Amino acid sequence: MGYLIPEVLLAGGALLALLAVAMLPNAKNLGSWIVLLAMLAAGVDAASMWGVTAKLIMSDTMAIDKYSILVTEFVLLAGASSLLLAWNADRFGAELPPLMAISVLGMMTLGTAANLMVVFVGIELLSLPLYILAASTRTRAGGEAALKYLLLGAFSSGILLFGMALLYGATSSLTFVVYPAITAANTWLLWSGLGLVLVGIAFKLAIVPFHMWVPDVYEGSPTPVTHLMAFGTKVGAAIILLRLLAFGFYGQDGSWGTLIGYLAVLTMIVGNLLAVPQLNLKRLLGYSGIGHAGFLLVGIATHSVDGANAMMFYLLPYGLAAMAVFGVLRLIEGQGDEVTLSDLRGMAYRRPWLAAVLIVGMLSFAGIPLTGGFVGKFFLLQAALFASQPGLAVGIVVGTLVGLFAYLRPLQMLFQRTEVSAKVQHLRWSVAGAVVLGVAVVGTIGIGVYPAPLVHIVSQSANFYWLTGG
Amino acid sequence: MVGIFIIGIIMLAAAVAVIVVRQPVHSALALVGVTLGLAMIYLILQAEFLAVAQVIVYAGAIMVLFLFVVTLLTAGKEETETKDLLSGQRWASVITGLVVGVGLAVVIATHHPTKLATSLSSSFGGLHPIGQELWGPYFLLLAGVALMLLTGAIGVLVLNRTEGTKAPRSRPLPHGVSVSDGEGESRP
Amino acid sequence: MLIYLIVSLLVVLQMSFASDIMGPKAPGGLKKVTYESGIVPEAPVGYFSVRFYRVAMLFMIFDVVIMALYPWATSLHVLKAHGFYNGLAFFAIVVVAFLYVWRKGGFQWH
Repeated sequence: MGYLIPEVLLAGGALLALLAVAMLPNAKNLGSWIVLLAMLAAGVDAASMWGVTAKLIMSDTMAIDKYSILVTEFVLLAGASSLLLAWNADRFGAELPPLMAISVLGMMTLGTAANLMVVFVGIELLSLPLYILAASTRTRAGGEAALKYLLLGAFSSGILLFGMALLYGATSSLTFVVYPAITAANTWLLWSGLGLVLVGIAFKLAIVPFHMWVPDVYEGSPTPVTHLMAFGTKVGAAIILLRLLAFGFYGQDGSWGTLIGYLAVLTMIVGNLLAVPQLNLKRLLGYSGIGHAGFLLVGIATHSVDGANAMMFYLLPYGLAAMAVFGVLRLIEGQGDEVTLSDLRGMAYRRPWLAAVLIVGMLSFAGIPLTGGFVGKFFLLQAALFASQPGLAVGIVVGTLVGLFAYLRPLQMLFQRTEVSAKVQHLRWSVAGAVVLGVAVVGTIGIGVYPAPLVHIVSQSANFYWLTGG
Repeated sequence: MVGIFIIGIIMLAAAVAVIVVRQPVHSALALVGVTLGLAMIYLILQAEFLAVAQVIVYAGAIMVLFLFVVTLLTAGKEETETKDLLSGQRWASVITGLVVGVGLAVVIATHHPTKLATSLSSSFGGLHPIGQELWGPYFLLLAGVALMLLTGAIGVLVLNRTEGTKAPRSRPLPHGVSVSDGEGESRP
Repeated sequence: MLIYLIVSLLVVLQMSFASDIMGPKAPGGLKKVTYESGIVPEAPVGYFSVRFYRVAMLFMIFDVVIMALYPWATSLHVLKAHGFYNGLAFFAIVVVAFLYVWRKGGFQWH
């Protein structure tokens, strides 16, 4: 039980914060403080477990290893930054902090999952609060976003569950870490189950045939919630996909490796291509998020330790860049929920620091050298080439080039001298936003210039193959 | 075995009826048929607790919810068929649905039960086995479910907040969302 | 046995549908009007209060809680202290939900 203290802390924080919301409705920010402190405590406690020897706990349903600890830190970063972006904003409702805490708890659960039931509980814990949060400002677009997210999410959960049932029928176990030991199960039943499970997870990760919901949901949701979806959900879905495929189906990579490879290339190119004509920045980021999901898939498709390393590495620069960009959007939007490209006009002259942050974030998304995004894409490219899959490498290059167009268009707007948009003129800094932006910029450039420490940490955590099941 | 087939056919018919009937109320009632059929399959498998839970939760609580929603949506409104925005999506969905459904059915049907890697344990679905598993080794999953229920409760109150409760919103509701300003009223 | 089944089925069907087939029919008139305890119904209700939905949703949530607690109560003698503490943890979560709904006025109609 001692291994689950971060989860318990966060759940306790969510419950306390909800009690505070219910009992002391006039105490401003109390719930946010409680959840933030719980997240920090959980992060510190998880970090203190770094030396743990990997083991299965809770009747083989959860795995505690460096992988799960690193995932915990990632999603806590996502949760804390989303919380800070929503700081002091009454219009999101007082229930936002506990809901975010529950969602982050779901992502942490996915990090530890060694059993399909835990995967399902984690995904539902992750999604349910997001459905509510998407509609929490009670705007028309928010309602549409929440409804679309809810319907498609519920549908994908059903497909996921059916796949799990078939996998159980084929292997007689829901604990997927013992699957490599089951060799006799090479049947159509197994592949049908795996296919359905992949569809379910691909919905959450927004892989291309299943990406339709992303732009509308990102556009309609409040910006902090969009950030949590873009960073946290992506981390949760990507890492469970990696652990399930690269560990549970270790020996049968010939069947799923190619499929994931094609999906990766398709996702990278289509996502970035659709991002180019967007005028609404949150839609643009939605499509960019689809593209990045494709980059993450490359790490899984290579089916090697290098690929796993590269994917795990890529998550952090991606998340930091998302923090920078969404943080800037949050400051620009003020009391609204929408930021279009023309709202950025003249920012480089009127708000040079903020413009600089946006530039750093966008360049990291695009993968320009000296930012974390470049190093991440470099490792992915390396992994694809080492695995002698040149198709993937070409996909990365094409996707990056197309993405460059998408990310440079907003930056071009920053330097329009003719007129300054009203939103930029009335922009007001906030301390919480500044903290997020500071962490994001320092992290992005830090990883870009000196990636060695993160590489070391990631290489220790992504090496989860020796976790013996049974 | 024959019983399962008969129930399966009834369930399939009810499930098709859910989709094809015009009135939403009839859809909901057909869904009751599906859940009752499922409960009967549980009974055949000697999973009494699951059967009872199925009836109480699905045919009871969830169906009440559905009926309320149906009433909410259709009260005093004419039935109109909305036009397809994407032409041909209905046929595309029917075809892909059939392909996937038939494919899965073939895969499952060709796996004779004896070839399955697992067989049903003798204690499947009983009250005591479920209690001892759920509240013993797998309690954390149940705690996760409890958190989901908590989230659901929050969601009900956040999304369905009425004016004049203990936590009044600072902002008025957007126009057109004010569904709660008066109850059971009859409007000319 | 089979003959008995068929005959009983036929008898039931005959009872159900005979009046339909043979009885006189006079459709129309006041028969189409909703009978509401003798009160003349007014114009159709334009709005159905969304509060019904809230009640149903809350009922469903706590219904599921009860469904989970029933196996707990019946297997507590096997689970012993471990199961008891698990139950307390479950209660803690549910009670927080209950308190929240209560304080936010979820149990009030107005």
